[in-house]
Amino acid sequence: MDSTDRRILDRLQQELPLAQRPYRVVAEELGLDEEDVLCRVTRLRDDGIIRRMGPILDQDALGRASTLAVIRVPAERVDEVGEAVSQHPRVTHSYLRQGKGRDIPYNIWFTYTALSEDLLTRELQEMSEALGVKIRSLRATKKFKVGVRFPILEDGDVDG
Amino acid sequence: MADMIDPTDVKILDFLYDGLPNTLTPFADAASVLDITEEELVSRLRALMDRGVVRRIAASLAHRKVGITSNAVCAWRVPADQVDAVGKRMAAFEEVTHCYERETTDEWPYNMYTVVHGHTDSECEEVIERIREAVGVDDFVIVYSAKEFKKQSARI
Repeated sequence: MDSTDRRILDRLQQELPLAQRPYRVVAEELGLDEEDVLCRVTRLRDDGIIRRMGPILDQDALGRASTLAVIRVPAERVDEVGEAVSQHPRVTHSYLRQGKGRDIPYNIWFTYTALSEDLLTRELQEMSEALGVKIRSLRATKKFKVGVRFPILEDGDVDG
Repeated sequence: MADMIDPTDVKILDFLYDGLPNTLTPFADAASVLDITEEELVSRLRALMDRGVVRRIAASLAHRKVGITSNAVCAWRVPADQVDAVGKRMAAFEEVTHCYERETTDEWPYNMYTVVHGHTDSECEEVIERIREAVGVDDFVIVYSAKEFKKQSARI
């Protein structure tokens, strides 16, 4: 991946222009050739660096109920429970987490999106019972920022 | 929210979950598969964005593959009367990708969360230190990801 790839990625992670020829728009902005941009995007998608290119949904706007759920799992069950949680289709992210320089009460953290509040409660309860662990749900009460722009540009990457 | 999204919208979003066609004219080609005009597809996508159902049309990156292997969740304990001001200030940091107030538990009193992504743990920590100085909150815990089990986009 070179500097041009990074500039393309940085642009596309923010937005793919809703245009008839979106890569021509991006190419013009970055001072590149349209075909070259598509060629690079193809490779980046094939390599899985771009894991998806499409509409990014707002689950709240769709009336869905989502949460950050946490579990305290004994060390010997961490992989088993982590894998089982991530198999669930409504789990979007799941991580084994630990505190920096201190112990924290929960080690498996995951995000879950259900079709409604009631289903969220019920489904987490079912997961709790199936896995034999206590799942705590840390619902968001206020959202100040929801948006991901990874800092992929490096020093020396020319900005168009 | 039945009025926010109709069956054709669902069909479009379901099809596009797997991504736009990899061509110079992705919207025209998607419309063709969906058996609608490009104009209708673009118009519906624009309306979905206006309504906030679609946040944006963009590339989702596998951040670990581009060297962003450090992902720090920082949980802060912020007095209730400062939550709004502090949340706004934290969200203003470019490096903060998410900032939420959340419920607490009896053993976990931290109510504000910021997610910071970076190349290294120390890069993330440097950002967290700047946030701490900016908002004046000293009671916080940095929670790192030791292992990623799963990372995927939410479906329609």
